[in-house]
Amino acid sequence: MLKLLEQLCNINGPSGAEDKVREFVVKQLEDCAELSVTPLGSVIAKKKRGPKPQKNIMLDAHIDEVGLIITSITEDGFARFDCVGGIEPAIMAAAKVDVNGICGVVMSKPVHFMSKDELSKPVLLADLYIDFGTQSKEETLKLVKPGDTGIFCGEFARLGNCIRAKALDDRVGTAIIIDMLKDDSLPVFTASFSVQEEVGQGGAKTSAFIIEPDGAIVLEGTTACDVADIAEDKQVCVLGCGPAVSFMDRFTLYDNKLFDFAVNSGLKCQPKTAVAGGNDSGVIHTSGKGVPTVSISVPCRYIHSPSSVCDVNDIADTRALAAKMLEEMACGELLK
Amino acid sequence: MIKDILAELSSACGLAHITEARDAACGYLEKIMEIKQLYGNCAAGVLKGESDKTIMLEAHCDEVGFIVKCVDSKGFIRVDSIGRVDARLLPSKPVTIHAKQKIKGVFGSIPPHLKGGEDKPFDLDSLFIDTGLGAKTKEIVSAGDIVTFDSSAQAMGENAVCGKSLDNRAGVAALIRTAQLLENKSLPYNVCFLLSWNEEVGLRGAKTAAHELKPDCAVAVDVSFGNMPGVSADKTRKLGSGTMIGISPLLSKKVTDKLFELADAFEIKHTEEVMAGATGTDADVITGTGAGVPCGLLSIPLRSMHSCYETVDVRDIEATAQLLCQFVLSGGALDA
Repeated sequence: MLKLLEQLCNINGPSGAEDKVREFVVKQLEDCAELSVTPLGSVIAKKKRGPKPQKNIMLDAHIDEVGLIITSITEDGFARFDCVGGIEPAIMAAAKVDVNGICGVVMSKPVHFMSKDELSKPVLLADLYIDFGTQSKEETLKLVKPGDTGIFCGEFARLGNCIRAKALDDRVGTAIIIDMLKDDSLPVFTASFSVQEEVGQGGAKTSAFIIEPDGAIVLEGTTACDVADIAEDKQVCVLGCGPAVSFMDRFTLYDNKLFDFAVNSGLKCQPKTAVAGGNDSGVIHTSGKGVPTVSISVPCRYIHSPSSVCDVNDIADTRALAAKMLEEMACGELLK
Repeated sequence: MIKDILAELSSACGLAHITEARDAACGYLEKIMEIKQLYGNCAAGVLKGESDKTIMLEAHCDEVGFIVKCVDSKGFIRVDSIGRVDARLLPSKPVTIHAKQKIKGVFGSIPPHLKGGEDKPFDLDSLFIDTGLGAKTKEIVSAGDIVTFDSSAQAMGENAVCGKSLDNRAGVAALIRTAQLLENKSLPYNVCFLLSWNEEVGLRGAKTAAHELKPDCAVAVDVSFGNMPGVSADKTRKLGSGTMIGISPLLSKKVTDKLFELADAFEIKHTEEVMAGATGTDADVITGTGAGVPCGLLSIPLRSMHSCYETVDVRDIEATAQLLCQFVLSGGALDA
C-alpha cells in the first residue's frame, strides 16, 4: 500500500482540479468496483466482491488537497495568489509550487533587506508572490492565468518508520479505501472518493445523497502535535499510537455507539483529544434522514504543508480498525 | 548545458566539512586542468599562460544552512543557522542532516494557537527538526552536525532554474563554463580558478586561498539581488538582464573599467551594480590579500536569496562566463 500511497501523494489535485487523482483512482479500481463519477467529479465505487452486507455502508476519503489559486499577475510578471484551504502563510513562503505543470517559487524577500521590525512580524499572504522565472506580465500569461489552481510541491521520502510527503491529507485515506476495495474478504460497501473537502465538503455531501448510506466511515489524516515542547494535553494525537478516533470536531458530534465500539475494539487506536478541525463527516452525518458516522484518522504532523509526516504503522492500524468497523456496521448490529 | 551543470551543483551540498558540491564542481574542472586542495575546503586549478603572472577567477562553493546544537530526549533537533536565514520561512521545509548517516528531516512547525498566537513569527528558538526516528535520532545525530536544505533544482520557463544554494552555485557554474570556453586557447597569463568556502560566515575561505595562490589580478563571481516586489528597483536587477558589473571604491577601477569596456566591445549583456564600500562578497578580502590584489566583481541576479528555492536565469550565467573569458583573453588588467 505504501507504493500506492506514494503514487497518490505525487499526483497534484488541488480542490476543484482533482482530475488527475480521479483518473488514477478509477484506473486502480476498474476490476474490483462498479464505478461512476458524480456531477461534481467525485468517484463512487461499489465493491464487486465480498460478503453481502445487511447495511449499506459508505467509506469516504477526499481526493483533493490544499493548494493555491492565482488571482492576478503584476506588470513585472509575478503572480498574486490566495490559498485554497487552510494554509499558514509561513508554510507557503519559499515553497516550490506547481500550477498546471508549470514550476514556480513563492518568493521571499532576501533577509539582507529585512529590518528588525519586519523580522519580528509573521509572514503575510499579502507580501507573497509567485516567481515563474519570467520577466513580464505577457511572458507569465503564456504560462498561467488568474483562476488557475496549483499545489505546493513536496517530495515523498521515508523518514525512519515515517513518511514525509505533501497531501497525506487525504491520500492516506484514499490509499486505504482503494486497498480495502481490492480485499475480497471484506463485506461489500460503497466508497466515495470525494472532491472539494478543503473548500466546504461539497463532494462528500453530494456523494452521500447518491449513496444513501445506513452508516459511514470517514478516513482522514488529522493534525498530530506530538512534537518538541508541546504539552501532552495539547498534542491532539500521537504518531505510532494507532488511528485517532473523533468524538467531536467543529462540524460533527459523532455517533457515540460507533466511537465507543472503536476505542473499545481492542485494536490499536487513540481518541482524538481535541475538538478541532472538521472533515467530510460534517456533511455525511447530516445527509438524508441522518447517517451514523465514525471518523478514523491517521495522525499527521505538519498537516497542510509540503512535508507532512505520518507513521507507517498507523496506516496499517487505521486500515485494520476501518475493516473491523466495516464488518460490524455491515452486519447491522452497531446501527440499531 | 549550463542548466544541467547548475542543477547538479544546486542539488549537491557544500557547507563546512561537507564537500559534495565542491567535488561535483571539481569533476567538471578536472577534465580541463589539474585541481589541488587548499586549506579548509578550498580547491583551485590553473590553466597555464605565456607569462608567469596569474589572473584569479573565484566563486564560493558553500551555501547557507544549519548546525546542530542539541537533540532532545524525544529526538527533535535544535539548530542554529550558518549564514543569514529568515527563520520565519522555515516551517515545513525539508532538510538533509549530514550525521553519522545522511538522513532526511523536516523543520517542524506547530499550529499558531500553540506557538503563542498568530502575531508571533517562527524563530530558530521555537523551531526544531523532525527526523521521524524519534528517540533513536540521538544515536545518529550529534552536536556539530551539518544540516542543509533538501530541495532539488528544476527548470522554470525557458531560461530560469530554481533550487537551493544557487547562491553561489550560479557563480561556480559560470567559472566552469569559463574554463570550458578557455580550454585549448592560448592564454597571455595563467588563469587560476578558485572554489572557496566559508563565504557565508564571513568571507574566510577566499582570504586564505588567495594568500596561497598569490594572484596578480582577480575577479570574484557571486550572485546579487534579482528584481522582486517589495524591494526597490535600484537595488535589484531583472533576471535575464545580463551580468552585473560591480562598482565600488573597494574594487579595482582598472579591472572594473576593463570589464565594462569588454562587455561593450563584445556586446555582452550587462548592468552596473554600484556599492559605496564593502560588496559583501569575497572580492572584499581578495583585494586586501598580501600586498594587495586588484579585484573586480561580477554578479548574477538571483531572486529569493538564502531561501530553499532561489531562482536565476542561465543567460546571465552565460553572459558572466563570456565576459570572464574575454577578460582573460585580453590579459585582464595586467597588460601595460
